[in-house]
Amino acid sequence: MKNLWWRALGPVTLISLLLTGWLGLWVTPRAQEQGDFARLVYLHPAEAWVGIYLSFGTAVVASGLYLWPRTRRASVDLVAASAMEVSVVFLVLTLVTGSIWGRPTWGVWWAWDARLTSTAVMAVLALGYLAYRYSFEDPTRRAQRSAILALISAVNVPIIHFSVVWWKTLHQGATVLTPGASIKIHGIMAWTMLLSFVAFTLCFVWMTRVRYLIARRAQEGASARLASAIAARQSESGA
Amino acid sequence: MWSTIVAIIRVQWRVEMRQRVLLWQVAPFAVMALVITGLAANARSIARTEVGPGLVYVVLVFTTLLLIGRLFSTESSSLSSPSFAMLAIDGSAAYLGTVIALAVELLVVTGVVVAISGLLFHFSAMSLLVATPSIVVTIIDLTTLGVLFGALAARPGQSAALLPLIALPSFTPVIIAGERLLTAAVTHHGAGQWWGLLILMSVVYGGIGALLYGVIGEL
Repeated sequence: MKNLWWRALGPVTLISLLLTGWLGLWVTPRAQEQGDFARLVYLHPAEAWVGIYLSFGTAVVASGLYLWPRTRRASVDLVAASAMEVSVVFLVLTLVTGSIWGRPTWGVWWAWDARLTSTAVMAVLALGYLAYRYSFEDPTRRAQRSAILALISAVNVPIIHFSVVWWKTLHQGATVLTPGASIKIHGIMAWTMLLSFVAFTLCFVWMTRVRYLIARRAQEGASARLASAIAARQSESGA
Repeated sequence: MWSTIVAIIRVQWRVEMRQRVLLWQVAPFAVMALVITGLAANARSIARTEVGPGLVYVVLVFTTLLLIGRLFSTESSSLSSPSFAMLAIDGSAAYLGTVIALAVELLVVTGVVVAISGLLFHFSAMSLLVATPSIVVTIIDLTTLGVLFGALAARPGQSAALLPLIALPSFTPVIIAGERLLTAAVTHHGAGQWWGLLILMSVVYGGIGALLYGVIGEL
């Protein structure tokens, strides 16, 4: 049953993404002020949700679990690394789509806006984690030190976020999670936006799993090569 | 604990007294960087009070990274980090000692940079005096964070690019707060809310560093 779920995940993700694209491009109406550019609402917020919160959060939680002695497993470390890689992809996509949306709205490709800037800083943070991680040869040291870096970075994320917000903002406020719970999107547009969040969440799970499997096989391959090299050396010295 | 902190500070300063890197390399680098960034930002024709504080902090961040990179490259090459672990020195004391020693060195360079920035960007002596407490706390924050990330990045043969890559995103709130407070001092406007962020950063990262410095050294 579990296997069936994982096998179905890829096709279900693809179908939900295609459905989001179809609803977003052809079924939903044009916006009054922003025209077709408003269709980015079915793409950009969902990418930000995955890149900033879901992937980064998964990487941090997995890093915390790795540092906790009872839950310390190599697989947990690989989940952290895989989720952080997916986070980089979605953070870059968030920046690109945000920039495309910003051009007609603000008149420039890049503005020193709080959310753009804090997302860019987070992308560098995630890239720094990956660069740091891949600078180690020894898997145990790599896992321990990377987990510490992820947790330190996690503490810094809200501080970066609020500092940049206090500094300067042009970005529009929340569309759904508003302070007074007054949702600013309705009907088919709201449902399409909700579907985009589901589709991108499924996409995150699928991408993280595939990346995790690749990393695990690479690690198993490295262990097998090391074992065969030791065996060959032992047989040489025995002969 | 205090004796360890004092011993670490003495070691760091003795290294500096022998090598004179701060005087002959880091301070001239900082001054040159300030002049070059001023030229690049065309500080002659635009509002100096708007661009000057930011440039001062850009230079101070690069100087911090330079000093931290040098500190940990010296420690890696002389194998002093493994000897700390073998001597069972308290990790938090080692961290606090290193932060204090480095913060004092950085404050010396900062004094030179800020004095020259007064000449280059026409900041009045009084406004720089008003900004002094915020500059001191910002430098302490940069050192607190920098030593923590320096310990994480330190390894023999490690690329020098790794430290800036992992440390700069975390420096962002400190740079913003420091720049806002310096701008407020030179333009005579209030920006008191940024003090909270600076103090929060000192407490949070001072605590994390004191807890983890020893652990990182053993990994």
